Amino acid sequence: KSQSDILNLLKSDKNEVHEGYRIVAGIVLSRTPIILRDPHPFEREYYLYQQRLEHIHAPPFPVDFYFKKGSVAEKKWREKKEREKADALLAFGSRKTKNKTSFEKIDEEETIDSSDVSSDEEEIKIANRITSADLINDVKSLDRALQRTLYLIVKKPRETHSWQFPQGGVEKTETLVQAANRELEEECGNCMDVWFVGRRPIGYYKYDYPKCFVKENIEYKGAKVFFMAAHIFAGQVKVDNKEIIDFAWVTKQEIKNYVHTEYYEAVKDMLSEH
Amino acid sequence: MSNHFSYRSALSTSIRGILARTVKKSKPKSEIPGSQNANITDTRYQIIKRILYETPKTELPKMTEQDLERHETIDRAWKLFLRNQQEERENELAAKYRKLNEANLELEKLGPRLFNSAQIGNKIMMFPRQMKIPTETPPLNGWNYDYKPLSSDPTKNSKPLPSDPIKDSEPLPSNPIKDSEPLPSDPNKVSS
Repeated sequence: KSQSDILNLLKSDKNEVHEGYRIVAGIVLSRTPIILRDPHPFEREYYLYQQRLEHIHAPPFPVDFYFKKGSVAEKKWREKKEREKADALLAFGSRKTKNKTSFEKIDEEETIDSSDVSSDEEEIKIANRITSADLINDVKSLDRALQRTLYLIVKKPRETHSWQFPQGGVEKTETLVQAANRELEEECGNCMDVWFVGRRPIGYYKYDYPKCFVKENIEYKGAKVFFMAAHIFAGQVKVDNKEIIDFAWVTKQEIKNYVHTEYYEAVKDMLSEH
Repeated sequence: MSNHFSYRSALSTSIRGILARTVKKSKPKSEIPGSQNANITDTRYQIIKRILYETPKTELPKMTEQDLERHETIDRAWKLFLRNQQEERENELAAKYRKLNEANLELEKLGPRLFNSAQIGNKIMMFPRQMKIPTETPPLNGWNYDYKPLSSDPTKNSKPLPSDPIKDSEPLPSNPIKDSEPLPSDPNKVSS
């Protein structure tokens, strides 16, 4: 029995404790947005409106400066202007026409995957803003919701409060960041290019353990979690199947569906809407 | 010290000038750009001058009362829209700051070791090169799932001292010879 007491002492010496609470470093690992946000419909309309005003009141375009007289490019330009003129008259005449004017066509062209290929120009490949991961709603994919920030949440092998941010105890020889880095590597594997944003914690959450819970034969009242911010640039999570059994990359709104409401309320202010 | 510029040429300056002018072929006046007798059929300079000096001033749009009212309503709606966006952003940042502040105050209560180690910053703030701003469209190859950590040395399993992840994951050393990105061989390739 004395042997186990000594072991307990050694273990208690390793972990940071304060007032009976285990000091824990949590990791808010985020994948920042990869593409720009879709414009709000009002934004679109406003920009269209401003564009029209500019077109009406702009000084005449010096065609002879930009296009050589009698060149093919000049011919194409003049044709384009003719079409625009015809469309403009339609647009101001009846706003409820179903035929889209060339102004609106310009905006739409931006959302088309492959650009217009002419005989002279080389084809430029552009990837789609909505990926296959979006369509099938694969929560493990890092190609999903490219406009939003995705946060890593992991599932612990227990019944309640299973989903949370990865976290782990701080030892007496290390700082918060070092603990966070170590715990992330232990729980989620080392196949991720992660960068921690400074050494300061970004959030704090204190919770009590249920009365029956005792960790490593040492009685703790609960835990004080200090969240550390980090970014992921490449790689993917590898579950160790011991501490965590599942993971997901979710937006701030989607976290509500996984995590306990109390936890979400404590954590939501740290997270970005976009 | 000998003065290199005090030698005397066999010829005088004036004679040398005359000789130089006879050898040199001067351009006809019509070819000298900008001269008044420049080639009349070369309209490029006329075009440039016209664009620079003779473009009509953009006047304010002439709007009827209805038009003006509509325009002003749109303007106010836009300003309101921007203001709301700004407020949302500010609120989000304020909430984040509150959490940050609270966390650090709580950390202070735990004692000097953890708190002090958390408050130190790097003298020169650096950000990793991989931290990119959003673009219109995503990279062609999508997310790189095949990341391998740099030190895959199996003999180096246990580190003697815990290392600072911020110092270790500093921006990649900028060795201009080694680490410079390879020049695109194919001009059509869009870099991911």
